[in-house]
Amino acid sequence: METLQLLLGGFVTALSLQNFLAAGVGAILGILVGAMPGIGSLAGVALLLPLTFKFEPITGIIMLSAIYYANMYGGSYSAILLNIPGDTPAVMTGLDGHPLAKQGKPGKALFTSNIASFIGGTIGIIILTVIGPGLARFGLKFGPVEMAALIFVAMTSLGWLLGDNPTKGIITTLFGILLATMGFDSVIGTPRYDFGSIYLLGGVPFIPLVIGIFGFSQVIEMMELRNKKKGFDTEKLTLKDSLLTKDEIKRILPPSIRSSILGTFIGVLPGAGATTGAFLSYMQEKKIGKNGHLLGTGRVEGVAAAESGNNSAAAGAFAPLLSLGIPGSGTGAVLLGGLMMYGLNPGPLLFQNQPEFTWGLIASLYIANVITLAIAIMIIPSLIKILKVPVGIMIPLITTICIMGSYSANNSLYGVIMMLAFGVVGFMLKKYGYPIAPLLLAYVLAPTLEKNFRQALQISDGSMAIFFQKPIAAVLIGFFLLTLVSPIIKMVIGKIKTKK
Amino acid sequence: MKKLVLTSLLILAAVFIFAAGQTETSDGAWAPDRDVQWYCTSSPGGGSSIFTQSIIEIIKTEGLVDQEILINYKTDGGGAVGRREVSGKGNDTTILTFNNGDLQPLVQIEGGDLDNFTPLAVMATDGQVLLVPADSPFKTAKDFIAAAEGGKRIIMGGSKGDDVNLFNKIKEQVGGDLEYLMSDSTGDALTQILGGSIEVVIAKPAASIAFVESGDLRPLMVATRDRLNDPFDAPTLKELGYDIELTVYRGIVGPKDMSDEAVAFWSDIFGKVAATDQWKDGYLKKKILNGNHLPANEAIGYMQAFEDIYTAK
Repeated sequence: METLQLLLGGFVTALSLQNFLAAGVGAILGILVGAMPGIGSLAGVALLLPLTFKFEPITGIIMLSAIYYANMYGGSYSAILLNIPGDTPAVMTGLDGHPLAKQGKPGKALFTSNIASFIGGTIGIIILTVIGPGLARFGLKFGPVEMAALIFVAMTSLGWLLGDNPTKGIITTLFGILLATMGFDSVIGTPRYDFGSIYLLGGVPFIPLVIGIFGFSQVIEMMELRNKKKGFDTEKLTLKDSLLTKDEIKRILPPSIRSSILGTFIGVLPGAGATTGAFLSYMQEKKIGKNGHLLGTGRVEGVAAAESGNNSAAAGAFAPLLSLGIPGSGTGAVLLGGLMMYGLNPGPLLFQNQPEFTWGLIASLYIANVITLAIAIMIIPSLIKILKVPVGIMIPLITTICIMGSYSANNSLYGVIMMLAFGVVGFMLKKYGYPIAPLLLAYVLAPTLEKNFRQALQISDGSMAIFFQKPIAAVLIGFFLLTLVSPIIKMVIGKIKTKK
Repeated sequence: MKKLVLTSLLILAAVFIFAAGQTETSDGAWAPDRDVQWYCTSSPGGGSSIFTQSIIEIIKTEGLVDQEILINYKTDGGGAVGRREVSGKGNDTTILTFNNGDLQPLVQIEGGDLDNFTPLAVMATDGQVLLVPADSPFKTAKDFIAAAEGGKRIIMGGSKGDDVNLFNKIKEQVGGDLEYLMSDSTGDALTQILGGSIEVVIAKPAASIAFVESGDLRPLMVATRDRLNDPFDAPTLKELGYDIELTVYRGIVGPKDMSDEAVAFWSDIFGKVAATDQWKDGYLKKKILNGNHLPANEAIGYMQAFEDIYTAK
């Protein structure tokens, strides 16, 4: 009850005209920044942080939060329309979103993405309001042992992505792990596979990798097929066709809600952010969804799972940030920097010492979410027109976006070179039927797994028994083993049955 | 979307042109002509980021620098990537937060030295403190030492560089079966101790004070020469009979070919920052650090002395 009262007080703060405007401006800027490939929410928030110093602390932070949030909306647009994820959490959105656009349903994909983002954000914030501080404390329990066990479970879902030819899928998975090991050893801090290059010391940068492997590879494809391939089916690109039917809404609701709950939880965990949230939500849907096996062919469920997963994770990341002063993600870290700039002391006492501020921020997250949804839906009609652009213009346009995006990710030409190289790699992989999703999943999860697994063994002095001694880890590992042996058991039972 | 893309392009173009097109001020004295990139190689929430943000805040309130100052967190490769970017590609408006926790891996792992940089200032000296959760079985420093000497396996953690250094010294002199989990910053290490993954954490007072005040953590001992003020009033390792005394300096450097005018400018700015009350009371006193400001010309020798210690090993 007290929570509700504080929250209402927060709404009063957040609904002042200037704060309301700040949330609106933040939403627009966030969508813009998010839609531009290469400038993820991290860079977006960092770039716009100085803008907000002229405001009152609460206004500034409201605007930053709105930017952070709206980024997750914007990131999916270029993924759906151009198959270039605007930032990393949108990678999974593109898997179903772009096929949908190709089928002449870009409006539906965008609409689903907006609605799912909204659901994800709303559920995330509600969970944050009700049990935020408690959840943050629970998230802390995920130390190296628990995180390693969690990633093990996540890794089993790779099997669902391998596609028709498991050998090819395993090859790309291993390639992803190989790429992820380049750079610095995360546990003892020595260089690894850097081939004496300053650039490779930092490892293979993710954004240029993604832009190249998805975006630039299709430029090559378009050039190859320019005379044969007909453009998108763009006859029916009206707003009316973009609206979802009742049936479709029914289809996207369960995955959105499931993913939102999972995503919020992932966002709370130390070191995991919106990208992991989207990955795992998509995997969950693939595993337990009614139409899970069809994911990847252009299903609204896939878009919904990925988008609600990343938006709820973005909300979840605020829990440790606000209640403990510990950032849950890179962007959260910059927001934390923002809080300190305003002379606030983020830490375990922030909720007690500055209730007006924290609840104002939480209330403003609700408002930012509604405003962003409204703006996002309004721009759908102009967005889908991009698909009417002829291929001849599309090729240079996409190339430009790819180069700009990969350059601005690190402000260096190294990113562009990487992007071009991975464009070629991506093209070859696609041409010979190697699935790309396992590569990216392995690349994202492998470093987390490596660091946590090695630290877990450091704690136990090399004994694997530690994974069974800690309750959370034991449950996860049990689930992991069950997933591994269940196909074998099923097969054995099946054989016995046929013999009878 | 076309409009959207066009607008975005225009905004981007405007930013680039703005950044590149400004000319130097005409009144002779050098001043930054574009946004300042301030590199910090530890993640936010740790001592280095608090240090960096505190200085920027003072620069802003005092209006010392006209251009915006942007913090660039580059934690990849234990900070090596950020350091190489500053030393290799930096210019007069690129500066780097640089304490001995950065200097040590630079010298010992990356094969670099201070010649890669131009020291601009030393601002303060910081201490290191060992903390345990409120409900830890180690009630006092003596409990910890007794357990370690008894060969009990104790999992410790902390940040990179100087914290690793302190851990090694403790392991060397106290002995026992100690293990160290290295994090990207004190902030990450605090997550681990709050979650119970590690038993003892090495941290800086500035980063951990909020948790000591809230009662989550309590200080066990400190590695400074003298005892620290409340709430970090705990025995020093020297008092406990070990020859361990570490000083962490907090300083700022620029790239090696920074112009003399820029060095003079920055050295002057940091001198002004160090003289403000906001620095003395709002940062040093509140975050339990010692003021120890040295301008550029004295900072070189000071940092060099640390480098000599690291290369001697």
